[in-house]
Amino acid sequence: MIEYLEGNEAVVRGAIDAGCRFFAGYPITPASSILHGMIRELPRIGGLALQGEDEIASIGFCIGASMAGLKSMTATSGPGLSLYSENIGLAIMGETPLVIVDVQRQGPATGSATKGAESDIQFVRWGISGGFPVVALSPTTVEECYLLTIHAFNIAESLRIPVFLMSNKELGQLRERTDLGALNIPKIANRRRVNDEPGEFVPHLFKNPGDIPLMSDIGGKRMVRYTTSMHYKDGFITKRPGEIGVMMEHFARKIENRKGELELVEQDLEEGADTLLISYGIVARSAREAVTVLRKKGKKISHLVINSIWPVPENAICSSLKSCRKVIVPEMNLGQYLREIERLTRRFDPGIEVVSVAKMDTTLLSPREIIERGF
Amino acid sequence: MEGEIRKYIKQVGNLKWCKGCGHWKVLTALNSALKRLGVPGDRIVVVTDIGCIGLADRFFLTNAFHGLHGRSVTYASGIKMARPEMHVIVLMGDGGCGIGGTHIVNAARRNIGITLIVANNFNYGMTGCQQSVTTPEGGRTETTPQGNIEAPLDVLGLGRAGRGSWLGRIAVGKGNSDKLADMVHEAILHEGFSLLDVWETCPGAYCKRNDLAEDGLLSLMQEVDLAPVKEVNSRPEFSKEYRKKIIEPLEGCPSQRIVLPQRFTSGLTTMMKIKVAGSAGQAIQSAVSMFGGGALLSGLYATQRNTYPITRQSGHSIAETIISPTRIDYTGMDVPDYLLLLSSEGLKETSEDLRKMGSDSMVIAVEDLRGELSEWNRNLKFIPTHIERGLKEQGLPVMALSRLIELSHCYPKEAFIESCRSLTPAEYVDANLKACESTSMQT
Repeated sequence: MIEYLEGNEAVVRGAIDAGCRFFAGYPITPASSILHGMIRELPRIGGLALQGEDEIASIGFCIGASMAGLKSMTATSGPGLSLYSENIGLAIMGETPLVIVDVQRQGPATGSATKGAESDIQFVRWGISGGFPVVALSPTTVEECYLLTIHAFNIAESLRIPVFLMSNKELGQLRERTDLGALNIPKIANRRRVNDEPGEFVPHLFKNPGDIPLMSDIGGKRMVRYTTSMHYKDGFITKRPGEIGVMMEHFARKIENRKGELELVEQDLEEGADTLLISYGIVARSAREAVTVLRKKGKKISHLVINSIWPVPENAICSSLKSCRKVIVPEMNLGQYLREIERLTRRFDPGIEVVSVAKMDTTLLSPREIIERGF
Repeated sequence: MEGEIRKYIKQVGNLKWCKGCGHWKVLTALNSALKRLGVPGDRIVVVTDIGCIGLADRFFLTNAFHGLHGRSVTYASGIKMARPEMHVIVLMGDGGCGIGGTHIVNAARRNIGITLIVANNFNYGMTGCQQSVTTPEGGRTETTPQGNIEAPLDVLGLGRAGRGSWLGRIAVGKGNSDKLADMVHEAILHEGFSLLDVWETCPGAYCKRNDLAEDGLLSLMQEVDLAPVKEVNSRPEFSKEYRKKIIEPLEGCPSQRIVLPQRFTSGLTTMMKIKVAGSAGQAIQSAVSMFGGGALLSGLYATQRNTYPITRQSGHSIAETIISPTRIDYTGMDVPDYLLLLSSEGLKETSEDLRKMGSDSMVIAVEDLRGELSEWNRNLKFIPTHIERGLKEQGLPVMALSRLIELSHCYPKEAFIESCRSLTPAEYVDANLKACESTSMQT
């Protein structure tokens, strides 16, 4: 089914198909069309979508609705993400499934409201107190906006965590030929619940830290306890270091234990190439074109596109580094993912040269710039 | 007093509030009200804010949600929207009314059916007696050591600003515990948003520094010109109203899908990059989408990226579109193959493109720009600026693109016309089709 869709429209479609039934957001360029789309679409399938009085309220509504049993999503851009910060911590603390779409724009502060950048790559990773790992996915095409939104819901629901979809003005508002029906759509995952019979419910019950506790909806037959404060498995506040330590380990391990299976990349390795391009987001498209141009000229080159930004797909990166002497990292920011690549190359082979091709002047990084500055 | 608490409340852990803390009276009243309500604990959720009152949820044999400071109303609202049949009760201190005041105003405005009970003791007790938004003038706290010089907030004013449908104020005191329980019960029974401002004492902090005891609460009210009140209006409750007015009329209606399967063939063999530049209000972006739609109908790939300032109906508007027989990676363009200029503003924004464009590229401009483009004397085509009768200004980009299709033979004109029919809102279809056809007569 050929359609001419924008990235933000594809996110809406992905959310609906993933089973999202609650959305709240606050208007912000370039994410507003997700809010409009959800308000238009959700009531048709019996879901709820509304505009909050601010970003804090919007994500608060989502957390409440998610704990009451509805798959929930919110969408914003950099300034709104700043306001989400404390509640993202709450979603981690309470093990709340939630999808957060960040249609990035150029920052800091209000920045250039209608211009693109990949401003928030490290911000989503380290933007909450406590420094807990997060899962963040980054699409490169409108079709991937659809697919990765479904993946984001699947991960959020399966691991009881907030998951970020890192879009960009240049993708959210990009219109492109799509054929969603022809995509390999993942099976829809739902949160695992205890049976809905009256009885005790332990909200964070796990045998080993990192196991995913079963959920029970607020409003179901079992009473649920939820708290922002440091708690143990029973949802009651604890001050015991032993219990706190276990919970900390649990929150981190939910993601760390599954690092391997969360890797989502596109590996385009060329036999005999000693140069590797590593890209993500909208810039991956320029990198793909740069690779095509260079190969036509007879240059051997490998390319790794990263869809799962966080956790860092270390296996895929390290396996791409084999026989590599030079890595080029083009980014539409001041060089944020560069530090992850430098960290891994240092560990893998300190002799590998890492070149940053960074730009954050609101214009797209072009294939020509990648070739001129990277090679 | 603690011993009286039964049924909906249990004592858990080793939490102890200060002796004589007013919070116990609020909890006792809530327990009595819930008893009278008589619904099972699983139909109730107690949402707490931060501060001493934030520890209260652990006493209740109900669902419990302890959230961030000032944001408890937002979680409560989310739960109520998802589960309209639940009784959602928020316990908040006066601190929460400061940091989260906007959520109270907006919950009141929506009239979402939650019950907000403010345990108002005029200071932040837990963190060491700091000033709150309700600290009376002259009140001494750690942050107002010489006496508060700010006016205290009327908590009900937050609810009033949002036209909240049930607002009440009462002070705890000897002999009125039944009255307090009655008010809590009434607030919970009220279908829409209810806000109960309960004045009480903080023996551990505020009362130590200020001459205030429980029997002085009513005279304090008089001093600050507030009084015990109850104000009720009847407005529909949000979560039910949303289902009735928003979901019911739409539920089951299919969403609009515009499918553009290949119906035409194109002879295009290479990528074609087009930039359309004009002014906001000329409907450039939607016209360029129609052009891309035509490409899809002709079996081509297409992308479109728009550039615009933060203003809406003023300033420039630029759309870049690429059509190609193969998949398109990079969505930008160093130099366009075709530049369509529809206004001076558009020309100003693209002077750099004009300079870079080579001899094999083409400019299609509105007649008005002839003078401004006098230096550019090759591959320059014009379309009339003033559109014939029956066309709107929005027809200009459609005309320019129609001309482009005729000149470049990128894909059949019929595909563009078909796309205009599919993608144009009904009220513009005729005008756009006329714009499409109007260029055929010119050379």
